[in-house]
Amino acid sequence: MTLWRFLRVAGVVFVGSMVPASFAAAAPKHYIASSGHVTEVQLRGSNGYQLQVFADYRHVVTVVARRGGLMTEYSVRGTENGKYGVKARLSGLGSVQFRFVPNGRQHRATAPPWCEGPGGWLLEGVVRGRIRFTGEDGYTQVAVKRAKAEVETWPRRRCRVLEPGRGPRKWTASFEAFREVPPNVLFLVKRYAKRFRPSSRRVVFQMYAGFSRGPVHILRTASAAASVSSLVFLDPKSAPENFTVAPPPPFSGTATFQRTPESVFAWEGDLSVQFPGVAPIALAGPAFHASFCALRGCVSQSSSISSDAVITSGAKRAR
Amino acid sequence: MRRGIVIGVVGLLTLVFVSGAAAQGRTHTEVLRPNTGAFVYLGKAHGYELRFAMPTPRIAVLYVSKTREEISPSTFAASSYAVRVPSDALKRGLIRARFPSLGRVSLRFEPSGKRRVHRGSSRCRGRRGVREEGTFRGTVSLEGEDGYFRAKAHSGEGILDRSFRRVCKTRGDVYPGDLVRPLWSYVASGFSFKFSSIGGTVALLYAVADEGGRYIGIRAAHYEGAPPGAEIQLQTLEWRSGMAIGRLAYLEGGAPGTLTTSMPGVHPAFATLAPPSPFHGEGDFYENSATSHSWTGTLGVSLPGLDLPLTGEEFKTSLCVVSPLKTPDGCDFVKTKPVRGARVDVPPPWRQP
Repeated sequence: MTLWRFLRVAGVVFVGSMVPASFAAAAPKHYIASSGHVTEVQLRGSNGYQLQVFADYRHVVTVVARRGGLMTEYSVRGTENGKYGVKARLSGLGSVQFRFVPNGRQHRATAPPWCEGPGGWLLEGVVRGRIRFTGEDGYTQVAVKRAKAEVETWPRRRCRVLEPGRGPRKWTASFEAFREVPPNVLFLVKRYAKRFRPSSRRVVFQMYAGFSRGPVHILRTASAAASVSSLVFLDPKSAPENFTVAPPPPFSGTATFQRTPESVFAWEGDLSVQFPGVAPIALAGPAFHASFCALRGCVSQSSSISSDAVITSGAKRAR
Repeated sequence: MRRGIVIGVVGLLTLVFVSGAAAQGRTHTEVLRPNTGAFVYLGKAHGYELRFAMPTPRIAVLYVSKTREEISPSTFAASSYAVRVPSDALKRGLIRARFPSLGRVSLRFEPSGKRRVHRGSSRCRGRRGVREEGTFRGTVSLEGEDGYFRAKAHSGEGILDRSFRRVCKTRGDVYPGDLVRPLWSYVASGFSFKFSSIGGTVALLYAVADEGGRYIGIRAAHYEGAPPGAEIQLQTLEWRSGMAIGRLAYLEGGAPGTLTTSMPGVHPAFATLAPPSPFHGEGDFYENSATSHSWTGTLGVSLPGLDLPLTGEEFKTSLCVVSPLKTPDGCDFVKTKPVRGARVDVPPPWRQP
C-alpha cells in the first residue's frame, strides 16, 4: 500500500469520524471505522502533471494534480456507477464516469498500523467509461476512456486515534499562520533540530488553502524544504519572536513576524505561492491568525480582520 | 429600572457574602448572622445613574456611575461613597443616611406585596430570608462635588432584604459572617489590587500614588494576542469627613496607541500611556537606572466628581515587558517591584477613625 493511499484511508476515516452515526461507541482513544473501498486510477496529465482519480464508497470523487511541490485536490460527491464505479461532474473542470472491471488478480492489503482487524483486498483491473479533466486555464489536461485501476477494500476496523508523538520534540521553532476569513489558508513553518534532518532541509514550509467552485471543493497544498538560512531571526537574544522567512519555490517573496511597540505581533510581507491557472495566494497579512513557538513558550496574535467584517462587506457587495 | 434592581441585588448579595476572610476547612458548622439590607434605584441625573445600597443596617453606599452609553460600550467610570449609619433603623424599613458634603437620604419602605423567600439549602437550619420589593418614599437630596450631579427625589423603587440566623453545615471555604468590614472596602472595586500575577500580559505598566490622603492606582495591560490597545484599570480611594470615596475607570481594550513600550530586555526601558476618554493627555515612563524611573507628562483622568493628574513625582511606577517565548507566564508584579517600594498588593490602611 502506498503512503498516499495509507493517508487517504486515514483521511476517509478521519472525515468519517466527524459523522457520529457512522461510528459505534468504542473505548477511549479508539474509534470504529466502517468498512469501505476506494478506487484509484493513475493518469498522466499534460505539462508534466501526475494525476490521480479516487472514488470512494461514499461516491466522493477526488482528482489530484501534482507537480513539484504543488498539489491540488478537487473533490465532489457523485453517484454510484456499478459496484466500484462512479459518475460525477467537476463543475467546468470535466467529468468522471467509469465502471470498474476486475481482471481477477487480487492481493491481500494490510491494515494500517494504527488499526486492529483483518486486512483488506487490492483488486486489479481497469476502469471503462470516460475521465476528462482540464485544470484552471488549462494548466493540465487528460481525457481517457480506459485506464488501469486498483480497488482497495477494507473491513470494519477498530483504530487508534492518532495523537502527536510523545517522544522528544523534533522541532526547535514552529510557526503557523491561518487566514481566518475565506479563502482559508494555512501556512506552516517548522525548523527541525539538527539531529533529525540534514542542514539543507532543516526548515520545512507547507501551505494548505481551501476553496469552493460550485459543488467542487478544492484543496491546494504546497511544500518545500530549505536550509536554516530561509528562517532568519533578527535579534535572537532580545527579541526571539522576531523573524523573517524566505522559502524557496514554489513559494515566492518574504514575510516577517515582528513585535511592534504596542506588543502586537505583526505578520506582514509579500510572501505568496503561485498555483497554475489561479491568482497568487498571499500567505501573510492582517487577515492571518499567527502563532509561533520556540524556546520555552509560544506567542500568538489574532487577526485584525474579523470574519464578521468580511461577511458584512460581502453582503454589501451583493446588494 | 428592573436592570438597576438586578444589579443592585447582585451587588448587595456580593457585599454580604464576600464579607470576612475566607478560611480553608473540612465539614463544619457555620452560623449565618441575621442581617437586613436594602437597595434603592435613584434614577439618572446629568448622565449619571444613581444607586443607593445598604448592605447592612449600619453601612450606606451611594453608587454614581457614568452610563456606558455616555462614553463607549467598553468603558466604565464610577464613583462610590460609603458612610456609617448610627442606628439600626433599616430593620424597621427606615433609611437615614448622611453623606458629608453630598446630602442625605431619608426614606421609608413601602412594600408592594411582592416578596420572595430566599432559596434554602438542605444543609442549613433556621428561618429562610425574605426579599421584598416595594417603593422607598421620603427625601433624597444629593449633589456631587462641584455639582456634577444633582438628585432630588421623593421616591425610588427598591428592595428590602431580610435574612435570619441560620446554622449551616459547610465544606471548604468558610465565611465567618462577620459583617464588620473597613468602610473603604465597600467602595474599592477590587480589580485595582490584583497586582500579583496576571497571566498572559506581555506589556504591563502601573503607577501608584498614596499622598494627601488619596490612593491612586492605574494599571495598563496588553495581553498576548490582543489587538492594538491596552486594558486600563484605574482606582482611587480617599477618606473625607468620615466618608470613604472610591472611584474607578475601566477601559476594556483601549484604542490603538494606548500603550507603547520599548522591546523586552531593552535598556533604558520606556513606555508611553495615552488612553482615550475619560483619560486625557499622555504619560511617559523612562527608566533612568535600575532603581530610578521617571513618570512625567500630561496624563490625567476625568472621573465623576474629580479631575485628577496621573503623573508626577508622587507616583511609584513599574514597567514589565516580556517575551512570551522566554516568560510564558507573562508579567508578574512579584518579579517587577515598583521603584521606591510602593505597596501595591494590598490597599493602604486608611486613615479612617
